[in-house]
Amino acid sequence: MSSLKTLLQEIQIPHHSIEWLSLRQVSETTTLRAVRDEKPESNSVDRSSGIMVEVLANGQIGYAALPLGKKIDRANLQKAVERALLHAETAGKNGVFSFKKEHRETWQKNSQGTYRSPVIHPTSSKSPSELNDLLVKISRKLNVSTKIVRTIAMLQTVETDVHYVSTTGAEWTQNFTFTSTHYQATAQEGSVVQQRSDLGHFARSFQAGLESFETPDLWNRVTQIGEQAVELLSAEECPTETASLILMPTQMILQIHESIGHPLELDRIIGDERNYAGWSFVKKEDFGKLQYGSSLMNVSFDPTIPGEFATYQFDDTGARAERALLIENGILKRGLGGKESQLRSGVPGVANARACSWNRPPIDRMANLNLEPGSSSLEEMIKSVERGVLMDSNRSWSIDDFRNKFQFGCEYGKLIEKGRITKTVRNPNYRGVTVPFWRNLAAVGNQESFTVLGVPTCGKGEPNQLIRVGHASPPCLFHQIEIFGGGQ
Amino acid sequence: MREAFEKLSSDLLKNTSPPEYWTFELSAEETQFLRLTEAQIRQTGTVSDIAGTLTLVLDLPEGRKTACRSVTLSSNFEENLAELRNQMSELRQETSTLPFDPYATLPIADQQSSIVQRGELPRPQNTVELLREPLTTPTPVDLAGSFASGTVIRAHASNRGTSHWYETDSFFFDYSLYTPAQKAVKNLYAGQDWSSSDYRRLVTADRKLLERLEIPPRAVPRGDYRVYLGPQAVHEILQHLSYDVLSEASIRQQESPFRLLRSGEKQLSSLFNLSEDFSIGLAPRFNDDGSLAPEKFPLISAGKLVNTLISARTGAEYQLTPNGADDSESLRSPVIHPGTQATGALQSHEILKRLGTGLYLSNLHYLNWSDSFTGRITGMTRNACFWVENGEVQVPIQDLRFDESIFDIFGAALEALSEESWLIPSTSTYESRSLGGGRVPGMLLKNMKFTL
Repeated sequence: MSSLKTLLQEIQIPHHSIEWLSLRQVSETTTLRAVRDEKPESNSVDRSSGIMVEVLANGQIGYAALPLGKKIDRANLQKAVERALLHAETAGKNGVFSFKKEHRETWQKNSQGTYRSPVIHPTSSKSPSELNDLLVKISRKLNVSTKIVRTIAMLQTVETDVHYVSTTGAEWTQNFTFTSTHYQATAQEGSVVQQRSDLGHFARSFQAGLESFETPDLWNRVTQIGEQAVELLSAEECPTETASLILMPTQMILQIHESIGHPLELDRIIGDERNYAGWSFVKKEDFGKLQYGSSLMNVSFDPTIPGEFATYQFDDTGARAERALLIENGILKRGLGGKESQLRSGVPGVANARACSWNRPPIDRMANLNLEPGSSSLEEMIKSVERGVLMDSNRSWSIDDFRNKFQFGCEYGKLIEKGRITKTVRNPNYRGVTVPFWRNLAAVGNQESFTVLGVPTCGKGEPNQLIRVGHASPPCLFHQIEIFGGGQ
Repeated sequence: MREAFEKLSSDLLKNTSPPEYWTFELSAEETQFLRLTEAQIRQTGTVSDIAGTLTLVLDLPEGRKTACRSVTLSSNFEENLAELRNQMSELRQETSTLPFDPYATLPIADQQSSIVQRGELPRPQNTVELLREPLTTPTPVDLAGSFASGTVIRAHASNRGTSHWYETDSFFFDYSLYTPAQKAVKNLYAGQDWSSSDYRRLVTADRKLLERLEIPPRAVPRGDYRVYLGPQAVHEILQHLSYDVLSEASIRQQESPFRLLRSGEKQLSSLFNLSEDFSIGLAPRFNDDGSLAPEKFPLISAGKLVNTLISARTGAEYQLTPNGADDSESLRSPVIHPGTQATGALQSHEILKRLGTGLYLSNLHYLNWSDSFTGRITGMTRNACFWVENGEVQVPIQDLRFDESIFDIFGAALEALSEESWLIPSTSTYESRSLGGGRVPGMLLKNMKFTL
């Protein structure tokens, strides 16, 4: 029996109003190493640890989060249980929904096991000085020209251990290792400034060890980032017109995130999030009916892909996570909502009630949300375009609070004329409205072009939470899209 | 808590000496959180959190090296001391192996400050009742919102004789009221002393405004319009300018669009004045190296960039005098100065009349750069936004996307600022409760571009 399970059993239940109780212990070590212009800028290590107590009483969940040192203090844990109970009891009849112990018994029936991220080279396999040396070298290699005015190389590793037990028999541990990198070059000529990065800000985020840092293509990538930053200085502005648009996976991840992921979150659909991040245009009655996009559109919630950033076995309410199609042949089938939201909305969901740490309660979050591959090669897509732009690497995103009107921008563009790439364009932007945009999806890249990436800082919730999200996609072709450039 | 911090820092730092320079920072909170939807409770709980951060600067004859470590602390003093000593030992070992950092600076010497702001916060067992009371009478109203209340502490000590303590009791209720068609009025009740009558007055006024949203909204075509930006909308834009815009490092490294202001390629309106002003009482003046920022510090005066935010690190890199900015060189307590009679300030009663025909925008949403290097931002209108004709509110509008240069918003397009300004404390709770906030007026713009 684990020590946490023993602690759970030793808790003195103040009186019989506690129907259910869980403990979620989280220990997380985040290491950030950053170099700018070949000089060290950050060598920081943050160790955060604590325990979240949740109790069910009077149909309400009350919580209390307690910071932890090396040991769990039983008396403090007992007080936290009493505080959580006070909150549940005070909410009492004013809760928005009455939860029952039986609900949790049902979904926690299979909530036992362990999960560990696939790691080849542990984050400790290189010393701090070796990592600094590598980052300094990357920063140097980014500097391909006298027009480069700033280079950045960053490595963040995170080790997270989560241990969960409940009075309905849940008992699991999950040990995650996350590695994220970001390299960037800024080029300047006169008043023109351009930037290029390694697929977008921290898009290279994986559940992996240092094998995702020192990859065979590292130095070629770094050189290309510097060269393309300089290339953009003399590139033409992206034209302003309605044209075809090819989005590379480095931008598709953002398009999926903002215009599929957030609108499908059930807590947005039922209104929990409307004071902060906003609503959704999707309504409960749309599931099973809404033609979200063209028939080429298949979107999965897939917590099983090894190495993708948000792969896991259990969510933070103890529900077992499984792959599910949310959109099939363009039709909306299922929402992104955990068990609590499913109960409240009556809409089918997935195991995605997640908390960013020990000091926040779980809410509906994206996890791995992927656009399934189709059958086109990138070359075939380009050949099929009479006039359009290919856009690569996200740099700007904004969408309304119902997730309709969006405007996104990329670092790097290529003009396509009569089926051929003809020139590089800078400041490529596009705008649209979610459903019409996805209905204009005309081709989806094949399995060979399916690329797994991540988003480390998805913000949502009250109190606020930043969480890690994985996205994978091939490149995609859209027709009849408003594109435009930058500047004033 | 203060006694424990002082004893911890004393025990940790007493046997340290050059070439080791140490700082020890504390960040702590005890917060009640309540999340409401449909004017009922969705999530309710308490978060206790306490973290200590140690920073070591090794000042060697060949150069400096630096690194830092943060660790969660518990309520057990001896355990905390042992863990922090362990962290010091690991930091010593790691820092010695790192490359030299030419811009590392020593913590500031011999500065002290102490601020304790005590408040009358609602008792946790009464909060649900207090928050719901004006929502149920005279008629029930739909509400979604977030309440946070408790004590937040920031403290700093170093082995160069610096010590700071900042402790504040405060609460906020960030909420929106909704019509059945889900049009919203958003507001914020925040402070240090809870007053049920003040809260009720706000909700009553919001209910009245909500009635104006009950008629179907008008779809306004994309184009250019005269605009009044209410204080919350102005604050959204100001928050967007808080990072990488007024930072000296960002200007020098070509990140900030204000490099164009410095070079004279772009101008701002002579009506626009922006300062860091800690006298509004929402944030401590000390920064991460222990320096105290000036209480009031002008950044833009009559449209001219008179100062930027300079951290000690940036000062070392560019041979400049630092001015109390923290490492991120972000705005911590910004104030946009209200209009004055001499500059044609907007009186509250004449806002609609002077707007004439155009858009009255209460809130903006999801701002981002559409081109950061030239200072163009995009975002959405949100909540209580109206079409105004000949000085009369006509109808609420369907949300519009704007795409506009900050050099126009605070430059050629700026016609007037309101005479009144509003204090807007931060409601951010990412990782922990934020301190800070700002004071802003409303702004009348001759023109704003709407693109979708």
